[in-house]
Amino acid sequence: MSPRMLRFPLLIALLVGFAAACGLLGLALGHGELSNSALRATLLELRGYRVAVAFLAGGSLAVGGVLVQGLFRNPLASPSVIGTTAGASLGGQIALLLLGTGVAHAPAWLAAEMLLPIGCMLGALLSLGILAAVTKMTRDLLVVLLAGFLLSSLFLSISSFVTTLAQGSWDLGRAVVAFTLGGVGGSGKRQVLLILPLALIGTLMAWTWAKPLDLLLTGEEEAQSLGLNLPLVRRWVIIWIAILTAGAVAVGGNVGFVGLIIPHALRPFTGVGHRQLIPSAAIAGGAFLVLCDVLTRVLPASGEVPLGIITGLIGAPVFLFLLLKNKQAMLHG
Amino acid sequence: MADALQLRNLSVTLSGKPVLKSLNLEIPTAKLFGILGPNGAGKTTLLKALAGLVTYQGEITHRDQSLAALGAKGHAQLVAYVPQRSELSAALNVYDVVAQGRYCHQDDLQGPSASDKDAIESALIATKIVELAALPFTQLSGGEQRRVLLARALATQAPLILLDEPAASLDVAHALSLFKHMRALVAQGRTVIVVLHDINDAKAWCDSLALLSQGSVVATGAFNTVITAQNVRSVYGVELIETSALGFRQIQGAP
Repeated sequence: MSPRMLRFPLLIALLVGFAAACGLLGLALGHGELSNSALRATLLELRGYRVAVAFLAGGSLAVGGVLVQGLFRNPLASPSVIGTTAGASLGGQIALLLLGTGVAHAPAWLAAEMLLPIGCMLGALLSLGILAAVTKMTRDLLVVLLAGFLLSSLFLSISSFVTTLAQGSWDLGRAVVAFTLGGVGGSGKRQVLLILPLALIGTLMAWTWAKPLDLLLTGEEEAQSLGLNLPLVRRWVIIWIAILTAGAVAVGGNVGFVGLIIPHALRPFTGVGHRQLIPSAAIAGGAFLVLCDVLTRVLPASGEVPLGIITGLIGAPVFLFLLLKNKQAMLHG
Repeated sequence: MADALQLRNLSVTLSGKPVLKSLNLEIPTAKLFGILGPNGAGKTTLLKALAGLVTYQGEITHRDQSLAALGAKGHAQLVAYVPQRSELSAALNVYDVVAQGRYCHQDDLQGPSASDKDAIESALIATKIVELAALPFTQLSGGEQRRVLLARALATQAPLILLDEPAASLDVAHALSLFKHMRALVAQGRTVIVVLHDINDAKAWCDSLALLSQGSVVATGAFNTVITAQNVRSVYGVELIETSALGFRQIQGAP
Protein backbone atom coordinates (compact mmCIF):
# COMPACT_ATOMS: atom_id res chain seq x y z
CA MET A 1 0.00 0.00 0.00
CA SER A 2 1.31 3.46 -0.87
CA PRO A 3 1.72 6.08 1.89
CA ARG A 4 -1.19 8.03 0.34
CA MET A 5 -3.51 5.00 0.60
CA LEU A 6 -2.43 4.41 4.20
CA ARG A 7 -3.18 7.96 5.25
CA PHE A 8 -6.96 7.58 5.48
CA PRO A 9 -7.04 4.34 7.53
CA LEU A 10 -4.41 5.90 9.80
CA LEU A 11 -6.52 9.03 10.25
CA ILE A 12 -9.61 6.95 11.06
CA ALA A 13 -7.61 4.91 13.59
CA LEU A 14 -6.35 8.13 15.24
CA LEU A 15 -9.85 9.61 15.33
CA VAL A 16 -11.29 6.42 16.82
CA GLY A 17 -8.55 6.51 19.46
CA PHE A 18 -9.31 10.16 20.20
CA ALA A 19 -13.04 9.44 20.39
CA ALA A 20 -12.38 6.52 22.76
CA ALA A 21 -10.25 8.77 24.99
CA CYS A 22 -13.01 11.41 25.02
CA GLY A 23 -15.54 8.69 25.83
CA LEU A 24 -13.43 7.51 28.78
CA LEU A 25 -13.18 11.09 30.05
CA GLY A 26 -16.96 11.33 29.67
CA LEU A 27 -17.38 8.22 31.80
CA ALA A 28 -14.82 9.26 34.42
CA LEU A 29 -15.63 12.94 35.02
CA GLY A 30 -18.69 14.58 36.48
CA HIS A 31 -20.63 15.03 39.67
CA GLY A 32 -20.60 11.90 41.84
CA GLU A 33 -17.68 9.72 42.84
CA LEU A 34 -17.01 6.52 40.91
CA SER A 35 -15.13 5.25 43.96
CA ASN A 36 -18.49 4.88 45.67
CA SER A 37 -19.30 1.27 44.81
CA ALA A 38 -23.02 1.76 45.50
CA LEU A 39 -23.26 4.52 42.89
CA ARG A 40 -20.67 3.35 40.37
CA ALA A 41 -22.92 1.19 38.16
CA THR A 42 -25.67 3.83 38.02
CA LEU A 43 -23.23 6.68 37.33
CA LEU A 44 -21.50 4.73 34.59
CA GLU A 45 -24.83 3.83 32.99
CA LEU A 46 -26.07 7.43 33.03
CA ARG A 47 -22.74 8.80 31.76
CA GLY A 48 -22.61 6.06 29.14
CA TYR A 49 -25.96 7.16 27.68
CA ARG A 50 -24.79 10.75 27.86
CA VAL A 51 -21.54 9.99 26.04
CA ALA A 52 -23.42 7.98 23.39
CA VAL A 53 -25.96 10.75 22.77
CA ALA A 54 -23.26 13.46 22.64
CA PHE A 55 -21.21 11.34 20.22
CA LEU A 56 -24.13 10.65 17.90
CA ALA A 57 -25.39 14.26 18.01
CA GLY A 58 -21.90 15.68 17.39
CA GLY A 59 -21.29 13.25 14.53
CA SER A 60 -24.66 14.15 12.99
CA LEU A 61 -23.99 17.88 13.20
CA ALA A 62 -20.49 17.51 11.72
CA VAL A 63 -21.72 15.39 8.81
CA GLY A 64 -24.57 17.89 8.38
CA GLY A 65 -21.90 20.61 8.18
CA VAL A 66 -19.99 18.72 5.49
CA LEU A 67 -23.21 18.36 3.46
CA VAL A 68 -24.23 22.01 3.89
CA GLN A 69 -20.78 23.27 2.87
CA GLY A 70 -20.76 20.93 -0.13
CA LEU A 71 -24.27 21.73 -1.29
CA PHE A 72 -24.04 25.51 -0.93
CA ARG A 73 -20.35 25.54 -1.97
CA ASN A 74 -19.76 27.80 0.97
CA PRO A 75 -16.85 27.20 3.34
CA LEU A 76 -18.53 29.25 6.05
CA ALA A 77 -21.84 27.42 6.02
CA SER A 78 -22.98 24.96 8.65
CA PRO A 79 -26.40 23.94 9.98
CA SER A 80 -26.14 26.53 12.77
CA VAL A 81 -24.76 29.36 10.60
CA ILE A 82 -27.41 29.09 7.87
CA GLY A 83 -30.35 28.72 10.25
CA THR A 84 -31.01 24.97 9.94
CA THR A 85 -30.32 24.33 13.62
CA ALA A 86 -32.48 27.32 14.63
CA GLY A 87 -35.26 26.04 12.33
CA ALA A 88 -35.02 22.56 13.82
CA SER A 89 -34.99 24.01 17.31
CA LEU A 90 -38.09 26.09 16.60
CA GLY A 91 -39.83 23.04 15.14
CA GLY A 92 -38.95 21.09 18.29
CA GLN A 93 -40.20 23.87 20.55
CA ILE A 94 -43.50 24.09 18.69
CA ALA A 95 -43.88 20.29 18.96
CA LEU A 96 -43.22 20.51 22.72
CA LEU A 97 -45.69 23.38 23.05
CA LEU A 98 -48.42 21.60 21.10
CA LEU A 99 -47.94 18.40 23.08
CA GLY A 100 -47.60 20.20 26.42
CA THR A 101 -50.71 22.31 25.99
CA GLY A 102 -52.71 19.37 24.68
CA VAL A 103 -53.42 21.13 21.36
CA ALA A 104 -51.97 18.19 19.42
CA HIS A 105 -51.81 14.51 20.16
CA ALA A 106 -49.65 11.92 18.50
CA PRO A 107 -51.66 9.50 16.38
CA ALA A 108 -52.13 6.04 17.88
CA TRP A 109 -49.45 4.51 15.63
CA LEU A 110 -46.81 7.04 16.64
CA ALA A 111 -45.08 7.32 20.01
CA ALA A 112 -45.61 10.81 21.49
CA GLU A 113 -41.87 11.41 21.88
CA MET A 114 -41.45 11.03 18.12
CA LEU A 115 -43.32 14.32 17.60
CA LEU A 116 -40.26 16.20 18.86
CA PRO A 117 -37.84 14.91 16.15
CA ILE A 118 -40.60 15.24 13.53
CA GLY A 119 -41.10 18.88 14.59
CA CYS A 120 -37.32 19.40 14.41
CA MET A 121 -37.18 17.87 10.95
CA LEU A 122 -40.03 20.00 9.61
CA GLY A 123 -38.33 23.11 11.02
CA ALA A 124 -35.00 22.13 9.44
CA LEU A 125 -36.66 21.39 6.08
CA LEU A 126 -38.48 24.74 6.13
CA SER A 127 -35.23 26.56 6.83
CA LEU A 128 -33.29 24.69 4.13
CA GLY A 129 -36.13 25.12 1.63
CA ILE A 130 -36.10 28.90 2.07
CA LEU A 131 -32.32 29.02 1.75
CA ALA A 132 -32.35 26.80 -1.36
CA ALA A 133 -34.84 29.24 -2.92
CA VAL A 134 -32.49 32.15 -2.11
CA THR A 135 -29.58 30.23 -3.65
CA LYS A 136 -31.56 29.86 -6.86
CA MET A 137 -32.00 33.64 -7.05
CA THR A 138 -28.37 34.53 -6.39
CA ARG A 139 -25.05 32.73 -6.51
CA ASP A 140 -23.38 35.33 -4.34
CA LEU A 141 -21.99 33.42 -1.36
CA LEU A 142 -22.18 36.48 0.87
CA VAL A 143 -25.90 36.98 0.15
CA VAL A 144 -26.62 33.29 0.85
CA LEU A 145 -24.72 33.50 4.13
CA LEU A 146 -26.50 36.70 5.16
CA ALA A 147 -29.83 35.13 4.26
CA GLY A 148 -28.88 32.23 6.56
CA PHE A 149 -28.07 34.64 9.38
CA LEU A 150 -31.38 36.39 8.78
CA LEU A 151 -33.26 33.09 8.89
CA SER A 152 -31.44 32.13 12.06
CA SER A 153 -32.39 35.44 13.70
CA LEU A 154 -36.00 35.10 12.55
CA PHE A 155 -36.31 31.57 13.91
CA LEU A 156 -34.64 32.55 17.18
CA SER A 157 -37.10 35.45 17.58
CA ILE A 158 -40.05 33.15 16.98
CA SER A 159 -38.43 30.67 19.39
CA SER A 160 -38.34 33.36 22.07
CA PHE A 161 -42.03 34.00 21.47
CA VAL A 162 -42.78 30.26 21.75
CA THR A 163 -40.78 30.19 24.99
CA THR A 164 -42.95 32.96 26.43
CA LEU A 165 -46.09 31.07 25.40
CA ALA A 166 -44.79 27.98 27.20
CA GLN A 167 -44.34 29.86 30.50
CA GLY A 168 -48.05 29.38 31.27
CA SER A 169 -47.13 25.96 32.59
CA TRP A 170 -44.08 25.63 34.89
CA ASP A 171 -43.16 22.13 33.62
CA LEU A 172 -43.64 23.03 29.98
CA GLY A 173 -41.75 26.32 30.34
CA ARG A 174 -38.82 24.55 31.96
CA ALA A 175 -38.80 21.82 29.29
CA VAL A 176 -38.80 24.37 26.45
CA VAL A 177 -36.01 26.47 28.03
CA ALA A 178 -33.87 23.38 28.73
CA PHE A 179 -34.40 22.17 25.17
CA THR A 180 -33.44 25.60 23.77
CA LEU A 181 -30.22 25.91 25.78
CA GLY A 182 -29.07 22.53 24.56
CA GLY A 183 -27.49 19.72 26.47
CA VAL A 184 -27.34 15.98 26.80
CA GLY A 185 -27.44 15.96 30.60
CA GLY A 186 -30.71 14.11 31.01
CA SER A 187 -30.02 11.54 28.29
CA GLY A 188 -31.12 7.97 28.71
CA LYS A 189 -31.88 4.92 26.65
CA ARG A 190 -34.82 6.66 24.95
CA GLN A 191 -32.61 9.45 23.59
CA VAL A 192 -30.03 6.92 22.37
CA LEU A 193 -32.72 4.94 20.56
CA LEU A 194 -34.09 8.15 19.07
CA ILE A 195 -30.89 9.49 17.60
CA LEU A 196 -29.14 6.21 16.76
CA PRO A 197 -31.16 5.37 13.61
CA LEU A 198 -31.24 9.00 12.45
CA ALA A 199 -27.46 9.42 12.88
CA LEU A 200 -26.58 6.07 11.31
CA ILE A 201 -28.97 6.27 8.37
CA GLY A 202 -28.23 9.97 7.81
CA THR A 203 -24.46 9.44 7.81
CA LEU A 204 -24.60 6.33 5.63
CA MET A 205 -26.92 8.00 3.11
CA ALA A 206 -24.80 11.17 3.16
CA TRP A 207 -21.82 9.01 2.21
CA THR A 208 -23.70 7.61 -0.80
CA TRP A 209 -23.93 11.20 -2.15
CA ALA A 210 -20.17 11.76 -1.78
CA LYS A 211 -19.42 11.54 -5.49
CA PRO A 212 -22.11 14.04 -6.60
CA LEU A 213 -20.92 16.39 -3.84
CA ASP A 214 -17.34 16.07 -5.13
CA LEU A 215 -18.59 17.02 -8.58
CA LEU A 216 -20.36 20.06 -7.13
CA LEU A 217 -16.97 21.43 -6.03
CA THR A 218 -16.54 22.50 -9.63
CA GLY A 219 -19.69 24.64 -9.59
CA GLU A 220 -23.32 23.85 -10.35
CA GLU A 221 -23.15 24.60 -14.07
CA GLU A 222 -20.01 22.56 -14.74
CA ALA A 223 -21.27 19.73 -12.54
CA GLN A 224 -24.51 19.60 -14.55
CA SER A 225 -22.59 19.58 -17.82
CA LEU A 226 -20.67 16.56 -16.49
CA GLY A 227 -23.88 14.63 -15.89
CA LEU A 228 -25.00 15.69 -12.41
CA ASN A 229 -28.75 15.67 -11.85
CA LEU A 230 -28.68 18.82 -9.72
CA PRO A 231 -32.35 18.98 -8.64
CA LEU A 232 -32.16 15.35 -7.48
CA VAL A 233 -28.91 15.90 -5.57
CA ARG A 234 -30.19 19.10 -4.00
CA ARG A 235 -33.46 17.45 -2.90
CA TRP A 236 -31.85 14.40 -1.31
CA VAL A 237 -28.91 16.16 0.31
CA ILE A 238 -31.33 18.66 1.89
CA ILE A 239 -33.36 15.74 3.27
CA TRP A 240 -30.26 14.13 4.83
CA ILE A 241 -29.11 17.47 6.29
CA ALA A 242 -32.57 17.90 7.81
CA ILE A 243 -32.60 14.37 9.26
CA LEU A 244 -29.11 14.68 10.76
CA THR A 245 -29.75 18.15 12.20
CA ALA A 246 -33.20 17.20 13.47
CA GLY A 247 -31.85 14.12 15.26
CA ALA A 248 -29.06 16.12 16.91
CA VAL A 249 -31.34 19.00 17.93
CA ALA A 250 -34.05 16.65 19.23
CA VAL A 251 -31.65 15.11 21.77
CA GLY A 252 -29.13 17.94 22.27
CA GLY A 253 -31.09 21.13 21.63
CA ASN A 254 -29.69 24.17 19.88
CA VAL A 255 -25.99 23.25 19.72
CA GLY A 256 -24.09 25.42 17.26
CA PHE A 257 -20.83 25.51 15.31
CA VAL A 258 -19.95 21.77 15.38
CA GLY A 259 -20.77 21.50 11.68
CA LEU A 260 -18.56 24.49 10.94
CA ILE A 261 -15.45 23.63 12.93
CA ILE A 262 -15.09 19.91 12.26
CA PRO A 263 -15.02 19.87 8.41
CA HIS A 264 -12.49 22.70 8.41
CA ALA A 265 -10.29 20.96 10.96
CA LEU A 266 -10.32 17.74 8.92
CA ARG A 267 -9.80 18.95 5.34
CA PRO A 268 -6.02 19.39 5.72
CA PHE A 269 -5.87 15.65 6.48
CA THR A 270 -8.66 14.19 4.32
CA GLY A 271 -8.52 16.56 1.36
CA VAL A 272 -11.74 17.94 -0.12
CA GLY A 273 -13.16 14.55 -1.23
CA HIS A 274 -16.40 13.70 0.56
CA ARG A 275 -15.77 9.93 0.66
CA GLN A 276 -13.11 10.48 3.31
CA LEU A 277 -14.48 13.66 4.82
CA ILE A 278 -17.92 12.28 5.78
CA PRO A 279 -16.81 9.27 7.92
CA SER A 280 -13.98 11.32 9.43
CA ALA A 281 -16.40 14.11 10.35
CA ALA A 282 -18.82 11.61 11.91
CA ILE A 283 -16.14 10.38 14.32
CA ALA A 284 -14.39 13.71 14.96
CA GLY A 285 -17.69 15.59 15.43
CA GLY A 286 -18.85 12.96 17.90
CA ALA A 287 -15.60 13.11 19.88
CA PHE A 288 -15.67 16.93 19.88
CA LEU A 289 -19.17 17.11 21.34
CA VAL A 290 -18.34 14.45 23.96
CA LEU A 291 -15.38 16.64 24.97
CA CYS A 292 -17.58 19.76 25.07
CA ASP A 293 -20.06 17.85 27.24
CA VAL A 294 -17.23 16.93 29.62
CA LEU A 295 -16.39 20.65 29.85
CA THR A 296 -20.02 21.44 30.79
CA ARG A 297 -19.51 19.23 33.85
CA VAL A 298 -16.09 20.37 34.99
CA LEU A 299 -16.21 24.15 34.44
CA PRO A 300 -16.90 26.08 37.65
CA ALA A 301 -20.58 27.04 37.66
CA SER A 302 -23.65 26.56 39.78
CA GLY A 303 -24.81 23.39 38.04
CA GLU A 304 -23.78 22.46 34.54
CA VAL A 305 -22.96 24.98 31.83
CA PRO A 306 -25.37 24.42 28.88
CA LEU A 307 -23.71 22.54 26.01
CA GLY A 308 -24.68 25.18 23.42
CA ILE A 309 -22.73 27.80 25.38
CA ILE A 310 -19.52 25.74 25.27
CA THR A 311 -19.77 25.07 21.51
CA GLY A 312 -20.64 28.73 20.97
CA LEU A 313 -17.62 29.92 22.97
CA ILE A 314 -15.33 27.72 20.88
CA GLY A 315 -17.18 28.11 17.59
CA ALA A 316 -17.63 31.89 17.42
CA PRO A 317 -13.90 32.77 17.39
CA VAL A 318 -13.22 29.94 14.94
CA PHE A 319 -15.96 31.31 12.69
CA LEU A 320 -14.44 34.80 12.87
CA PHE A 321 -11.03 33.38 11.98
CA LEU A 322 -12.48 31.53 8.98
CA LEU A 323 -14.43 34.61 7.91
CA LEU A 324 -11.22 36.67 7.82
CA LYS A 325 -9.33 33.86 6.09
CA ASN A 326 -12.02 33.50 3.39
CA LYS A 327 -12.65 37.24 3.00
CA GLN A 328 -11.50 37.32 -0.60
CA ALA A 329 -13.68 34.38 -1.64
CA MET A 330 -16.66 35.90 0.14
CA LEU A 331 -16.28 39.28 -1.50
CA HIS A 332 -15.79 37.90 -4.98
CA GLY A 333 -18.15 34.91 -4.81
CA MET B 1 -28.59 15.58 -43.06
CA ALA B 2 -29.70 12.97 -40.45
CA ASP B 3 -26.16 12.75 -39.11
CA ALA B 4 -26.03 16.44 -38.24
CA LEU B 5 -26.96 18.26 -35.06
CA GLN B 6 -30.30 19.90 -35.83
CA LEU B 7 -31.65 22.93 -33.98
CA ARG B 8 -35.28 23.74 -34.76
CA ASN B 9 -37.13 26.84 -33.56
CA LEU B 10 -34.77 27.13 -30.62
CA SER B 11 -35.76 29.93 -28.23
CA VAL B 12 -34.28 30.81 -24.86
CA THR B 13 -35.54 33.46 -22.48
CA LEU B 14 -33.34 34.52 -19.57
CA SER B 15 -34.71 36.75 -16.79
CA GLY B 16 -37.70 37.59 -18.98
CA LYS B 17 -35.51 38.69 -21.90
CA PRO B 18 -35.50 36.68 -25.15
CA VAL B 19 -31.87 35.73 -25.87
CA LEU B 20 -32.37 33.20 -28.68
CA LYS B 21 -35.33 33.70 -31.02
CA SER B 22 -36.70 30.71 -32.99
CA LEU B 23 -33.24 29.81 -34.16
CA ASN B 24 -32.81 27.15 -36.85
CA LEU B 25 -29.39 25.66 -37.51
CA GLU B 26 -27.79 22.53 -38.88
CA ILE B 27 -24.35 21.71 -37.54
CA PRO B 28 -22.47 19.07 -39.55
CA THR B 29 -20.76 16.29 -37.61
CA ALA B 30 -17.01 15.63 -37.62
CA LYS B 31 -16.34 19.30 -38.36
CA LEU B 32 -14.98 22.29 -36.48
CA PHE B 33 -17.99 24.59 -36.32
CA GLY B 34 -17.55 28.19 -35.21
CA ILE B 35 -20.19 30.45 -33.70
CA LEU B 36 -19.49 34.12 -34.27
CA GLY B 37 -21.30 37.29 -33.39
CA PRO B 38 -21.02 40.53 -31.45
CA ASN B 39 -21.33 40.73 -27.66
CA GLY B 40 -24.84 39.86 -26.52
CA ALA B 41 -25.70 38.00 -29.75
CA GLY B 42 -26.54 34.81 -27.81
CA LYS B 43 -23.43 32.75 -28.62
CA THR B 44 -22.75 31.47 -25.10
CA THR B 45 -26.47 30.89 -24.49
CA LEU B 46 -26.62 28.80 -27.66
CA LEU B 47 -23.68 26.74 -26.40
CA LYS B 48 -25.34 26.34 -22.98
CA ALA B 49 -28.58 25.21 -24.64
CA LEU B 50 -26.60 22.54 -26.50
CA ALA B 51 -24.96 21.57 -23.19
CA GLY B 52 -28.38 21.27 -21.53
CA LEU B 53 -27.60 24.07 -19.07
CA VAL B 54 -30.48 26.40 -19.93
CA THR B 55 -34.14 25.69 -20.46
CA TYR B 56 -35.20 26.12 -24.06
CA GLN B 57 -38.22 25.90 -26.30
CA GLY B 58 -37.91 24.12 -29.63
CA GLU B 59 -35.88 21.03 -30.37
CA ILE B 60 -32.27 19.92 -30.56
CA THR B 61 -31.68 16.53 -32.16
CA HIS B 62 -28.58 14.49 -32.87
CA ARG B 63 -28.97 11.59 -35.27
CA ASP B 64 -32.74 12.10 -34.94
CA GLN B 65 -32.61 11.72 -31.16
CA SER B 66 -33.88 14.60 -29.03
CA LEU B 67 -31.26 15.82 -26.56
CA ALA B 68 -34.00 16.89 -24.16
CA ALA B 69 -35.09 13.25 -23.81
CA LEU B 70 -31.70 12.21 -22.49
CA GLY B 71 -31.04 11.99 -18.77
CA ALA B 72 -28.29 14.09 -17.18
CA LYS B 73 -25.65 11.37 -17.57
CA GLY B 74 -26.85 10.39 -21.06
CA HIS B 75 -26.59 14.01 -22.15
CA ALA B 76 -23.06 14.29 -20.73
CA GLN B 77 -22.04 11.13 -22.60
CA LEU B 78 -23.08 12.81 -25.85
CA VAL B 79 -22.07 16.44 -25.26
CA ALA B 80 -18.98 17.69 -23.39
CA TYR B 81 -18.81 21.35 -22.42
CA VAL B 82 -15.65 23.34 -21.77
CA PRO B 83 -16.43 26.65 -20.03
CA GLN B 84 -14.28 29.77 -20.43
CA ARG B 85 -12.99 29.24 -16.92
CA SER B 86 -13.81 26.85 -14.12
CA GLU B 87 -15.53 27.85 -10.88
CA LEU B 88 -13.47 25.22 -9.09
CA SER B 89 -11.78 26.80 -6.08
CA ALA B 90 -11.25 23.67 -3.95
CA ALA B 91 -7.83 22.06 -3.80
CA LEU B 92 -8.46 19.21 -6.26
CA ASN B 93 -5.46 17.94 -8.20
CA VAL B 94 -5.43 17.85 -11.98
CA TYR B 95 -5.96 14.07 -12.19
CA ASP B 96 -9.10 14.31 -10.06
CA VAL B 97 -10.45 17.17 -12.18
CA VAL B 98 -9.94 15.15 -15.38
CA ALA B 99 -11.49 12.11 -13.65
CA GLN B 100 -14.70 14.13 -13.18
CA GLY B 101 -15.22 13.61 -16.90
CA ARG B 102 -15.93 9.94 -16.19
CA TYR B 103 -18.82 10.67 -13.81
CA CYS B 104 -21.37 10.26 -16.60
CA HIS B 105 -20.18 6.67 -17.16
CA GLN B 106 -20.18 5.62 -13.52
CA ASP B 107 -22.60 4.59 -10.84
CA ASP B 108 -22.50 6.97 -7.83
CA LEU B 109 -21.19 4.22 -5.54
CA GLN B 110 -18.77 2.74 -8.03
CA GLY B 111 -15.03 3.38 -8.09
CA PRO B 112 -13.16 4.05 -11.33
CA SER B 113 -13.06 1.07 -13.70
CA ALA B 114 -10.14 0.08 -15.94
CA SER B 115 -11.81 1.83 -18.88
CA ASP B 116 -12.25 4.97 -16.76
CA LYS B 117 -8.54 4.96 -15.93
CA ASP B 118 -7.64 4.41 -19.59
CA ALA B 119 -9.85 7.32 -20.69
CA ILE B 120 -8.30 9.62 -18.05
CA GLU B 121 -4.74 8.61 -19.03
CA SER B 122 -5.52 9.13 -22.73
CA ALA B 123 -6.99 12.57 -22.04
CA LEU B 124 -3.94 13.58 -19.97
CA ILE B 125 -1.59 12.40 -22.72
CA ALA B 126 -3.61 13.99 -25.55
CA THR B 127 -3.60 17.40 -23.86
CA LYS B 128 0.05 17.03 -22.76
CA ILE B 129 -0.63 17.55 -19.07
CA VAL B 130 0.64 14.23 -17.67
CA GLU B 131 3.36 16.06 -15.72
CA LEU B 132 0.72 18.31 -14.13
CA ALA B 133 -1.48 15.43 -12.92
CA ALA B 134 -0.50 15.67 -9.24
CA LEU B 135 -0.62 19.48 -9.01
CA PRO B 136 -3.57 21.41 -7.55
CA PHE B 137 -5.75 22.77 -10.35
CA THR B 138 -5.97 26.20 -8.73
CA GLN B 139 -2.17 26.66 -8.88
CA LEU B 140 -2.02 26.33 -12.69
CA SER B 141 -1.78 29.19 -15.18
CA GLY B 142 -4.84 30.14 -17.24
CA GLY B 143 -3.51 28.27 -20.28
CA GLU B 144 -2.79 25.12 -18.28
CA GLN B 145 -6.23 25.24 -16.66
CA ARG B 146 -7.80 25.47 -20.14
CA ARG B 147 -5.93 22.30 -21.16
CA VAL B 148 -7.12 20.51 -18.01
CA LEU B 149 -10.73 21.47 -18.76
CA LEU B 150 -10.29 20.21 -22.32
CA ALA B 151 -8.81 16.97 -20.95
CA ARG B 152 -11.86 16.57 -18.69
CA ALA B 153 -14.11 17.01 -21.72
CA LEU B 154 -12.06 14.42 -23.66
CA ALA B 155 -12.32 11.98 -20.76
CA THR B 156 -16.10 11.93 -21.24
CA GLN B 157 -15.44 10.45 -24.72
CA ALA B 158 -18.44 12.47 -25.92
CA PRO B 159 -18.67 12.81 -29.72
CA LEU B 160 -19.73 16.47 -29.45
CA ILE B 161 -17.41 18.94 -27.74
CA LEU B 162 -18.44 22.52 -27.00
CA LEU B 163 -15.89 25.20 -26.17
CA ASP B 164 -16.69 28.73 -25.05
CA GLU B 165 -14.06 31.17 -26.32
CA PRO B 166 -11.19 28.75 -25.77
CA ALA B 167 -8.50 31.15 -26.96
CA ALA B 168 -9.60 34.08 -24.81
CA SER B 169 -6.68 35.41 -22.73
CA LEU B 170 -4.28 32.81 -24.17
CA ASP B 171 -0.98 33.83 -25.69
CA VAL B 172 -0.37 33.01 -29.36
CA ALA B 173 1.54 29.76 -28.66
CA HIS B 174 -1.12 28.34 -26.32
CA ALA B 175 -3.94 29.39 -28.63
CA LEU B 176 -2.21 27.77 -31.60
CA SER B 177 -1.69 24.57 -29.66
CA LEU B 178 -5.34 24.51 -28.60
CA PHE B 179 -6.69 25.02 -32.12
CA LYS B 180 -4.37 22.32 -33.48
CA HIS B 181 -5.75 20.04 -30.84
CA MET B 182 -9.30 20.82 -31.88
CA ARG B 183 -8.40 20.00 -35.48
CA ALA B 184 -6.95 16.67 -34.33
CA LEU B 185 -10.22 15.88 -32.54
CA VAL B 186 -12.15 16.60 -35.72
CA ALA B 187 -9.77 14.31 -37.63
CA GLN B 188 -10.72 11.59 -35.13
CA GLY B 189 -14.38 12.06 -36.07
CA ARG B 190 -15.52 14.29 -33.21
CA THR B 191 -17.68 17.35 -33.74
CA VAL B 192 -16.22 20.48 -32.15
CA ILE B 193 -18.45 23.52 -31.72
CA VAL B 194 -16.63 26.62 -30.62
CA VAL B 195 -17.72 30.14 -29.71
CA LEU B 196 -15.21 32.64 -31.08
CA HIS B 197 -14.71 36.38 -30.94
CA ASP B 198 -11.78 36.56 -33.32
CA ILE B 199 -12.92 36.33 -36.95
CA ASN B 200 -9.34 35.56 -38.04
CA ASP B 201 -9.35 32.45 -35.81
CA ALA B 202 -12.61 31.39 -37.43
CA LYS B 203 -11.08 31.81 -40.89
CA ALA B 204 -7.94 29.90 -39.96
CA TRP B 205 -9.47 26.94 -38.16
CA CYS B 206 -13.21 26.43 -38.70
CA ASP B 207 -14.80 24.26 -41.40
CA SER B 208 -18.07 26.15 -41.24
CA LEU B 209 -19.65 28.93 -39.23
CA ALA B 210 -22.83 30.51 -37.97
CA LEU B 211 -23.04 34.27 -37.54
CA LEU B 212 -25.45 35.32 -34.81
CA SER B 213 -26.99 38.69 -34.14
CA GLN B 214 -29.62 39.52 -31.51
CA GLY B 215 -30.47 35.87 -30.93
CA SER B 216 -30.93 34.90 -34.58
CA VAL B 217 -28.77 33.29 -37.24
CA VAL B 218 -27.77 35.88 -39.86
CA ALA B 219 -25.76 33.48 -42.03
CA THR B 220 -24.37 29.96 -41.87
CA GLY B 221 -21.99 27.99 -44.05
CA ALA B 222 -18.38 28.32 -45.19
CA PHE B 223 -16.31 31.34 -44.08
CA ASN B 224 -16.58 33.20 -47.39
CA THR B 225 -20.35 32.94 -47.50
CA VAL B 226 -20.78 34.05 -43.85
CA ILE B 227 -18.17 36.79 -43.45
CA THR B 228 -19.18 39.10 -46.26
CA ALA B 229 -18.82 42.88 -46.26
CA GLN B 230 -22.60 43.23 -45.99
CA ASN B 231 -22.96 40.79 -43.07
CA VAL B 232 -20.06 42.36 -41.16
CA ARG B 233 -21.54 45.82 -41.67
CA SER B 234 -25.04 44.82 -40.56
CA VAL B 235 -23.97 42.67 -37.60
CA TYR B 236 -20.88 44.45 -36.24
CA GLY B 237 -21.48 47.92 -37.69
CA VAL B 238 -17.94 48.10 -39.16
CA GLU B 239 -16.42 47.97 -42.63
CA LEU B 240 -14.56 44.79 -43.62
CA ILE B 241 -11.04 45.47 -44.87
CA GLU B 242 -8.98 42.67 -46.40
CA THR B 243 -5.38 42.85 -45.13
CA SER B 244 -2.60 40.34 -44.83
CA ALA B 245 -2.78 39.46 -41.12
CA LEU B 246 0.19 38.01 -39.26
CA GLY B 247 0.24 34.21 -39.18
CA PHE B 248 1.94 31.79 -36.81
CA ARG B 249 2.91 28.15 -36.82
CA GLN B 250 4.34 25.89 -34.15
CA ILE B 251 8.08 25.25 -34.04
CA GLN B 252 8.78 21.62 -34.86
CA GLY B 253 9.21 19.55 -31.74
CA ALA B 254 7.50 22.13 -29.49
CA PRO B 255 4.60 20.90 -27.33
